Amino acid sequence: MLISRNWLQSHFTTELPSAEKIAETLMMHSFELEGIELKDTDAIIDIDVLPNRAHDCLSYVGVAREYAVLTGYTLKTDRYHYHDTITRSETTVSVNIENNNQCLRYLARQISNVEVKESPQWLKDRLESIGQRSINNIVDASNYVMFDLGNPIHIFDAEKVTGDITVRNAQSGERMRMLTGEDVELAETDLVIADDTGVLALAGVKGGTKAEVTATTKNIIIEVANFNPATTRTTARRVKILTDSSKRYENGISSEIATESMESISRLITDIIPAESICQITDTYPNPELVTVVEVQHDHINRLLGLSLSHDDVENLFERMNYQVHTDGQKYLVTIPFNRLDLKIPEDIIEEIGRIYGYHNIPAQNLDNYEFSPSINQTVYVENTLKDLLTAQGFSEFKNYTFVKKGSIELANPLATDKRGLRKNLYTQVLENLEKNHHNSDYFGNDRTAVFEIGRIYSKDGEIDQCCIAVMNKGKTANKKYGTERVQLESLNKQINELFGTTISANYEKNSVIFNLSDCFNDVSDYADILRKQSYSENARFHSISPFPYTTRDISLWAYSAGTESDIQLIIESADTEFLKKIFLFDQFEKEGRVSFAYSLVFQSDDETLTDSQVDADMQKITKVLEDNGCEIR
Amino acid sequence: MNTPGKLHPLSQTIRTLSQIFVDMGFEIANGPHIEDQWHNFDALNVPKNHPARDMQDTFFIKGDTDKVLRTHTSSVQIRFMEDYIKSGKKLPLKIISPGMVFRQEATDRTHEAQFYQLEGLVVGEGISLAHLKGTLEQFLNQYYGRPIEFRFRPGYFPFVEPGIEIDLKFGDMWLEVLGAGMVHPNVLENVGIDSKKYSGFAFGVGIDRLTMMKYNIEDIRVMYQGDLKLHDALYSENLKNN
Repeated sequence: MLISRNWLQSHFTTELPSAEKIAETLMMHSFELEGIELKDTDAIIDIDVLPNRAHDCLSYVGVAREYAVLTGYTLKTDRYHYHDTITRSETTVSVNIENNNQCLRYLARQISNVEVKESPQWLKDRLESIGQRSINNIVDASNYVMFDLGNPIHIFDAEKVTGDITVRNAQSGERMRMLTGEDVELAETDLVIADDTGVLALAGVKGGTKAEVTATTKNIIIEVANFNPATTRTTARRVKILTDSSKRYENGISSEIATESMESISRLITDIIPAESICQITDTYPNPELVTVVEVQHDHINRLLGLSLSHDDVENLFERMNYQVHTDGQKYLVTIPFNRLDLKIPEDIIEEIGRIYGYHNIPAQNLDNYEFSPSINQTVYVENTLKDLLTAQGFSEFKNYTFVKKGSIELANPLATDKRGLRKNLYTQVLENLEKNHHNSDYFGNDRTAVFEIGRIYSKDGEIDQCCIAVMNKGKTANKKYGTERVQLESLNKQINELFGTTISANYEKNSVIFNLSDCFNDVSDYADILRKQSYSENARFHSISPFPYTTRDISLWAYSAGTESDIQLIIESADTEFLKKIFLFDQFEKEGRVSFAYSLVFQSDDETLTDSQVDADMQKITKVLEDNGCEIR
Repeated sequence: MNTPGKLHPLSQTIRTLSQIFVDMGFEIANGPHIEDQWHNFDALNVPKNHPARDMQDTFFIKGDTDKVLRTHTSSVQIRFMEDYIKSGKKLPLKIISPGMVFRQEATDRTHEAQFYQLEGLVVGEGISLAHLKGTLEQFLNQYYGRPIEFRFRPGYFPFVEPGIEIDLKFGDMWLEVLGAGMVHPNVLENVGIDSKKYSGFAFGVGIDRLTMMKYNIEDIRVMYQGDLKLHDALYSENLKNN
């Protein structure tokens, strides 16, 4: 919700501090802060009202009350005034409510001989400051009072209303044309405002064109009502029209604020328009809201917050909050202000005390007095033991998406048609990514690609945690060095059996082996140090991954002196290259007092696809620096 | 003989977090990804037709209106407490539940439809916000290896009352990192714990977010591509190979 500092100021007799200061106080005690926008003569504070405070704080008066509690500043009363020359008439609007559960209160009043025109500048400024378009004085007045006091208001052209106003459920097949121009078919669950000839408005959601206020409107009927949150929510979502009005009703407001809202809108309209006469209010309020009293025990407050507040402390806080409280020994009987629909149980009151007192005043306490004997989680143990075994042998871990094109279990509301299934095996993705990564062997400097994933698969029979290990050799030298892929996987299978003292039921699928984690359970009683081994150092940082292709070049050289691998690498690195990304030694031998080194060099740019000449230029620099250091390029 | 392989960075974060809490005497709890609405919503005091359900965009399982992909690991806490009380064990209990959760929302640099979360729960006689503060202080200092400044702000989650948001201070910046609060009495009663006698605190943190903050990863989507370039791109100095 956008809060204009000027508008908020109009609620106070005290001069408010800067927008930054107001925002800071509200953020630390009441709402989430989204941002502050400074303007020439105003500042806009964007706050995110938490859902439990949407009952009372989607309004300036709610935010102002909150800020007054936090600062002790004095709120202004009597903010709306009648025009001096107003006349009153005894005319009333006839209202029937057919569904008391869905329409909780309905106030209606006619105002006669109004002139629809542009709003006064101050009103335009207020609305525009919070991003609302000015329409005309009548519509603007109703919007202003809604934002100011929190009760949505609707205004009808009285001349276009035939007979009584009836609040009823829509009939099946009934239609209405919205103010947005859209023609909507109504459902029986919808609540509508109707006259004797048809639907005037979709209650709490949007008005219709039938009794729309236009430039020629002379007499108006003001509606200030309260509708059932669930009804409003269902309808607004069904017709997909979410308005500032439906938002407030959906969250629930108190029916008790309607009287003040009606009085305020009436005063505002007569003040800015001015109108000739205002008529009597019809107030239909079948089941008035009852006053809630919540009982809070003194020690409960301290127990939950971890504080040691005295009775005086608590009573002072209640006084700041403006609650009526009756103290009875160790307990407080708190009369809940009618607009605070969120306060229902003792914990709600305790939260109020905590926030106003300030969470920063709560001390830190450890759990030393709470003895608990935790069990060892076998899945965690097995998973991490496997990870240690596999990473030690050169295998790296994947985490792939759960969502795939087809699965035995599918989603009713997938994000995309190719993400509607939950994966039924790990190996499809692992093998696919094995191949993808294998294409980049030169980039990684690998002579084989070795990967695994430990994750969950989904079937009609339930969810299973599996491990999938996959490997792909790069040519015959790798076969010789590691054994064939199958040999490697079988060797791992054997090691896993030995490690857990079990026989896993392993399935081989192409270049992978898969088994269930539950095959490895053997009831350990200690995690030992399986959670301590790490792959990345504390100060490791992410270096961006270039989307552009890389190029590799090989270079072989003779080094005369006893140059080591790392010496040569430092020399290469010292060349002032632009695109050299990685250096891998792939061959080294000694002959007649000289050492031969062969390196694979990876070139890549973060900004473009490299051309041959760009790489050649870097290669020339490398060649030169090697020759300058006494190496002979082969 | 071999160059060691690498853990997925999220696995390393999960290990680090788990070890800290294991050292603090917490048990690690798991649960199903496909949850019934009771464990994911109702037991957690998130009623049907309540705007609070909009806070979490949910994936529903086709053909079974009661089943969803869990939107948080709070469902694991409900299952743990239910079993714990049914088996007649005595409170207090201290658990963490790290695991994958799912949200039906468009993906972008900071949002994924799947991500990891770690939630913590302590229930016992006299557990207070001060215990939450002390526990988080110990955890954060361990995790960052230095005292870290943090602050409590009011927050709202239907399953806690009071509800708290926690910001951590890095340089001059406050970053919202954890959500927490005192377990709502309805949640305790829903699993058979006497809320008059016992209270509890709960907290939750995004593992992907902690990992991204730690390594300066700007796009969450690099985590789930099955591409070893991610592992390769995490190193401490400006090395040309590693």
